[in-house]
Amino acid sequence: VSAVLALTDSAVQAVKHIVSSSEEVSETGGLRMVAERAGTQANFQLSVVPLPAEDDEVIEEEGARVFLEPEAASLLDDKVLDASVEQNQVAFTIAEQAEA
Amino acid sequence: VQPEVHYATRDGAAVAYQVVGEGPRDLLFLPEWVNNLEMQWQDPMLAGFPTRLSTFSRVVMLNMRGIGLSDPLSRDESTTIEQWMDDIATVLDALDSRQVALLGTGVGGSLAMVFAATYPERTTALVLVNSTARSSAAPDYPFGINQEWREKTQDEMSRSWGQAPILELQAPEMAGNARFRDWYARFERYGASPGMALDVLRMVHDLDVRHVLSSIHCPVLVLHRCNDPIVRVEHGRYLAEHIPGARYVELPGEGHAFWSGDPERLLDEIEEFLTGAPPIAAVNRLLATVLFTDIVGSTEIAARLGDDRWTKLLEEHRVLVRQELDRFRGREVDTVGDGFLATFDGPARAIRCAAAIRDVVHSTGLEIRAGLHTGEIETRSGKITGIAVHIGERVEGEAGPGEILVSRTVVDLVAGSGIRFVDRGSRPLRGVPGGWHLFAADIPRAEATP
Repeated sequence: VSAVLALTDSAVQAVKHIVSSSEEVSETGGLRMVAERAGTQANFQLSVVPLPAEDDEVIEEEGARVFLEPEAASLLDDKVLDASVEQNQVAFTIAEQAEA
Repeated sequence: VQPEVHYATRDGAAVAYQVVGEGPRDLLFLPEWVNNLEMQWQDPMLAGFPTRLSTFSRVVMLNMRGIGLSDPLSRDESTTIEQWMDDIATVLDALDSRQVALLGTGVGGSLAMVFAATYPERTTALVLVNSTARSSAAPDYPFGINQEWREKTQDEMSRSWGQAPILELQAPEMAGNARFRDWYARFERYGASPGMALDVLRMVHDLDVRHVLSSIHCPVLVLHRCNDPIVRVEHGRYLAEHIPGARYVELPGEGHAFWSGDPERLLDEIEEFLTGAPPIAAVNRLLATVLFTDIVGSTEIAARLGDDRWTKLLEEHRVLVRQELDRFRGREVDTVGDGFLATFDGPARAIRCAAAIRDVVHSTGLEIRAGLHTGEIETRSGKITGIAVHIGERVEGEAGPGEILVSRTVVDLVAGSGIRFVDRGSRPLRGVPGGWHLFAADIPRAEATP
């Protein structure tokens, strides 16, 4: 029942690609997600960082690292992160986790 | 039948233990810390639990140093999770037990979590009963006990130790049973002296192992009674949410003690889980404390001394550092320039080692800075990698001459060690979003005797 953000295979690939092609490239770098609440909606600010912040939740999956700031972590703990590539643009989408 | 008491010794100190059952698996049972191996078999409720465990395991139980039948702690030792892990290793080594499942209740569970993360190659599975990652409340951990409650409990403990002061909370159904209350009070007195009990309680109140949870990779079962009045059920839910892949079962019941209420319900879950646990997969991730040291102003000193004298001084420095690493059971991973990278399986030992290095190196006219962090590392052909390594390096970069800087994770894990810290505030670390809260270890310099 451990509740953390899940990553699809394409999300794993996309995160690895984005992190490795960044200037900030390092063996511990990852994609950081910060939640910005706007009313009942939340937007997620994405950035590539070489290391997580002190209270970030670290998700490592097959070499892909996602760092979630605490607010983002609690909003996403029952979600799954997916990615699709269109015209060289990566689009991340967030969906509910399927019941196990 | 009461199992025989054996003693395992390390550095001349004896740790009492018992073994019951034939296997097939080794199961280390870590109940609440108040214990006396002899006495726990006198009461059918307390004895029933390990007896049932022994029907499917070889059950190992011990009294930690300072508790029950074991030797007391020496003057320069104190109760920490690290000290308890050493006591466990002493017993497991004496039994030649290479791999164990761990069953911890209450603070025994907190200990089991740190052990599982630190020694993944020894841990097959982990079961936590009415346990927690942290007892005290914090802004991001609202269901812990507040400061007032802490003081009240500590006060009550020192005034009424040995009179079963919290039996109502351990097992409400037994609170009115005068004969049991009398026996339980005696069990307490035979388990620990009042001062020892207070020391352990303070350690429990200061401990925080939340940062360890994501580094537990063995199969984990979290069991919690939904009306536990000491460790509320929210603590158990928190563990289940933060330990990767943990299985969580909430059971009815009002008592905190594992033997209270309907222990068979717990035992059924435990037996089903442990008999089905798979063998350990290859392990290369583990929890460790990384220590980085560096010589302050080395470029200037090297220029002033010239190559030959500098090389000699550096060589002397390395010999001294290696002696201290050896003494404090540190593992040298790398020499980085004129500094060192080493890992430790106990954070308090790592801090004391840094202080010893600082002092011994000072006698050669050099000054070091040191940085420490505890986190998950990955080991590969003698090298280590991982976020924790880089954080440790950044922390070291923030340290002033002679300073031993540590992250909050380190402070939270050395509860009970007596090491004091000076809050250095939140510092921006190179390349890291936000700041990291750093603390300087306040260990007076030993007078160097040249």
